[in-house]
Amino acid sequence: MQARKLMAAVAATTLTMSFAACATRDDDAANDNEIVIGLVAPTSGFAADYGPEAAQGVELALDKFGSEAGGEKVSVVKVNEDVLDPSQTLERVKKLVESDGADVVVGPIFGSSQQAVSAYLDQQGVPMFTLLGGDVALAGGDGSGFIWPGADKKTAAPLGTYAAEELGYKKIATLGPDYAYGQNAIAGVADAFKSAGGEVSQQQWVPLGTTDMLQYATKLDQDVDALAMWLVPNDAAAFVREYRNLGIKVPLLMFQGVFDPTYQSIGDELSGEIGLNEYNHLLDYPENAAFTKAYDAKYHGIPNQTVAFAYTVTDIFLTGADETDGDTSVKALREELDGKVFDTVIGPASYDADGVAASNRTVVKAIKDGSRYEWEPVKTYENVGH
Amino acid sequence: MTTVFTQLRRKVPVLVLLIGALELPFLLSSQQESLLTRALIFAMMAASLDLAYGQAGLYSLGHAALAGVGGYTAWLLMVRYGHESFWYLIVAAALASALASLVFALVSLRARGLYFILVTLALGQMVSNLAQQWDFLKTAQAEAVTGIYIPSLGLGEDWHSGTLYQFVLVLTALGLFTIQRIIGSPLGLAFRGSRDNEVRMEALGYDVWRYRVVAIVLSGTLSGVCGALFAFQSGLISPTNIGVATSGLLVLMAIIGGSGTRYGAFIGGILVTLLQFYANQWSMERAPMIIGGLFIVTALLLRFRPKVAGALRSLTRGRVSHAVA
Amino acid sequence: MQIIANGISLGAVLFLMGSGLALLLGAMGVLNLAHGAVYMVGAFVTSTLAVDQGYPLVVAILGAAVICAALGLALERLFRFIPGRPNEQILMSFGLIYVLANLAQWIWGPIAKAPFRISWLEGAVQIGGVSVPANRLAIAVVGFAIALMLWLVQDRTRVGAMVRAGMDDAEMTKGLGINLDRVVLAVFVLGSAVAGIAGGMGGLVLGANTNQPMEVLLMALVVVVVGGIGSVPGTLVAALVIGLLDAFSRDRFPEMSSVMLYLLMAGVLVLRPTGLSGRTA
Repeated sequence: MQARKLMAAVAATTLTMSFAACATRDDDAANDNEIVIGLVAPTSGFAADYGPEAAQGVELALDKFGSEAGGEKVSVVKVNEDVLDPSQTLERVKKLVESDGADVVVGPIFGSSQQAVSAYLDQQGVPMFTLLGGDVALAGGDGSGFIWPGADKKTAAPLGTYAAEELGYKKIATLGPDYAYGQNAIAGVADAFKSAGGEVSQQQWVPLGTTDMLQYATKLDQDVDALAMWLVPNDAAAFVREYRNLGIKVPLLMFQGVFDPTYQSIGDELSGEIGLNEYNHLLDYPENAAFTKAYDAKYHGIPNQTVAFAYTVTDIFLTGADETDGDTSVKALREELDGKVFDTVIGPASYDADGVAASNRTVVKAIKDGSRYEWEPVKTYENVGH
Repeated sequence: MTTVFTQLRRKVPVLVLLIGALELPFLLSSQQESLLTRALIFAMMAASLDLAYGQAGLYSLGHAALAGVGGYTAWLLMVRYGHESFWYLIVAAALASALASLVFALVSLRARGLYFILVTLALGQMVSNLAQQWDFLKTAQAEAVTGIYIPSLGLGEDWHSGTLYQFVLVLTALGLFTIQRIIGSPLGLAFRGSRDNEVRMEALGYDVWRYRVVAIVLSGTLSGVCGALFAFQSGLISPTNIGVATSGLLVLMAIIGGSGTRYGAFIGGILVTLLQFYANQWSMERAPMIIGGLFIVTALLLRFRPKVAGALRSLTRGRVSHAVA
Repeated sequence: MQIIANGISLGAVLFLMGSGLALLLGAMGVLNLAHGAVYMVGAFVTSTLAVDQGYPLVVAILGAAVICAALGLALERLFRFIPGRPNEQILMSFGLIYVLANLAQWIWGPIAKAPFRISWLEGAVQIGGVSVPANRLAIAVVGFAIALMLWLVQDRTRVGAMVRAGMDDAEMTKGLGINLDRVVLAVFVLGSAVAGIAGGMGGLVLGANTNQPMEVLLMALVVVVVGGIGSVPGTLVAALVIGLLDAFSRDRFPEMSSVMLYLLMAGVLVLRPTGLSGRTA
């Protein structure tokens, strides 16, 4: 009796499992006459804005190519990147590659996810085009990564150079989140500032999971000429609020500025501050004008960095795949893209032989233009990232 | 004779199933093998939770942290100190989590009832936050610790998703067998006795406190092994994997399959892990709603429709859970 | 000195987060881990009313309190099915956290709301040589007002007497003909309304986002447990102690700051299971 019940239960489970297995088995074989782009970005949880935005960028790139490259049809499969649990992202990416036949991955957004999937993608020979930075160790000979828009440790460097050379600052403090991307970005600013003769007198790191920003404002050494900082938009907004409430006058140097829509709600608190943009919709390049126009026609509004860079890396990938006649292997793409200069939404940019991009950075200033707050381009630094 | 026969009869289908499951790689893609491996590991974690949770009635909301101690130990020894033997790492993980669960037990057993749950939650979050904030427990480039691979058994094996699945399946079967032996032994009887009637157990001369410590340590040690396996399989482990959210999922697994039954927690673990994956395939945006709904329905079902729950559970319930000392 | 001021400002926020939960856990031991989700709803509603629609802050926060009270009413219906069953209450709470967070993402979008900007609460006040931002001061004032109100309700009113009686001996209280179900309902509604106010006031500093159900729950749990489940003055003292501890430890050993909180929580539970000033069972 007992045995039969047990068997029934377990058999039912197995059946369910094999059913689930069968459901995905049909489309197992990757279609060789089609290029499948796998987009890996969050669609639920606190960073769920990235997924839909990146999807818009990829769609716009596909529109540009008429969904065809190297004589093959191009399609997109989207995967939800779990921001908190990279191991789940890994399982989903395995399905993306093996069942959905993805030939390339655009994303993931977060460093932990990139670390989680890169070994697997490398082993499968699937290139990984990051759109918002990444560790250079995931590119080169040990990984299948193509890192855009530049190495994390270099991407923010012009902010330090500008502070020392153009603004004449002698001493700065820094503030950044205590995890890899934040540490690298801040290190880039600090190193550049020091090599231009400046001094970094105080470095504050905000532990993961911190929500109260008051103490980082009160503890700031106010003898410095400026505070160089990078925080995610909501934390930056919280910090700036405390900063202004306390009446601190030390100028800010904000890597990436603050993104919309957060920027629009705190814009007047930042008036006149200096930032460093990777992307900015005001950048005066033909490709950017065409992109912002196409975006407005399809989605109505102003594209942000996530949309722009998802568009850009998909564009570059498709251009590469077109040249290689649809060969999307890491090796073919590395060779094809190596040193080739593309006109992108942020000006001329290229990948090196390791797959790490170099591109322009723009120093910007916070202003109000009509009813919108903007980051107005001030000075361009070229070929940043290697 | 009869008992031997009954016992055999009970084991045959399990064996058939085990052999069948071992052959699954011939039918599955490597992604599905990988997912099933994950499911097995979580199922085993849930089963080990249920040893303390269902059998001894120690409702813990910090169990994932004990698995985490195993996982982080394996990572530390492998990536930071370069140890490559599976056996070495797994034993180290088991020892570390045994030690951690002993501390857990000594601290948490000073509180009871609701307070016990809250202490386990606090201890679990403490471990998870330590992993999140302490530089010693981080790899340079990510919030999760990475760079883990499947270590060598020293038998010249060829690791790929199929062989890993089979290996984990065997380990899981061994683990389940161990748990069954514990449940069926006088020790298991004492666990259930301390759960159902503490006063009577004390009167009978049992040191209830000691049995509870044993239950937590056994349960924690087993899950530490699972934590190490998880790290090997995923190649990483993150603070979220060992925090309160995962502990809550383990509780769901145990309860949905029938807490305190023979295979309930295990089956629940497999189902919930698979559902977690496929819910996200159905709707990337609304998957949390599906999982959350499952939590709520399970809670209400247990209470509100005891008959439904009973019918479901009678499918999986072994006789053993009815026996009370 | 500045650290102490920071600690007290954080303590005020923590008290608001914890006080509603203290009542719920205290009254009949309902393990409502969805308390942080109610807080989040309060924060989002206040954001919509005060920031997007431009209503005065006080109106917006009252609106949040009303909506959260209604939510509390609904939650009480759900928890009424599973009285005194910690297993089911845990499951129910976790389910509600998942569902409400996802629902909030659906309604208010995935992008976190920046800390609310209220023009008359800008700037800082100098107190004894240290600067305290005005919005923090407002939070502290509201926090103390709520503490006082809750304390009065609990200590001086008939309902409060029933709650206390129910906490001490539920059977006896029922025997006296008191409808405990209704008392639980009242506590649920009141606790949720306080969570809504907490969300609205906390939003001045923390904004609103879908991570809050878990974050706020954990902070609130620490406060409630340290303060003694069910005790309003205890919760207040604990919130201040924890605010100070957090500010201090983050200043001195940032890597261990949140570990310290849980260590404190576990320590208090073990050494004095009823909290710093909890009622004896």
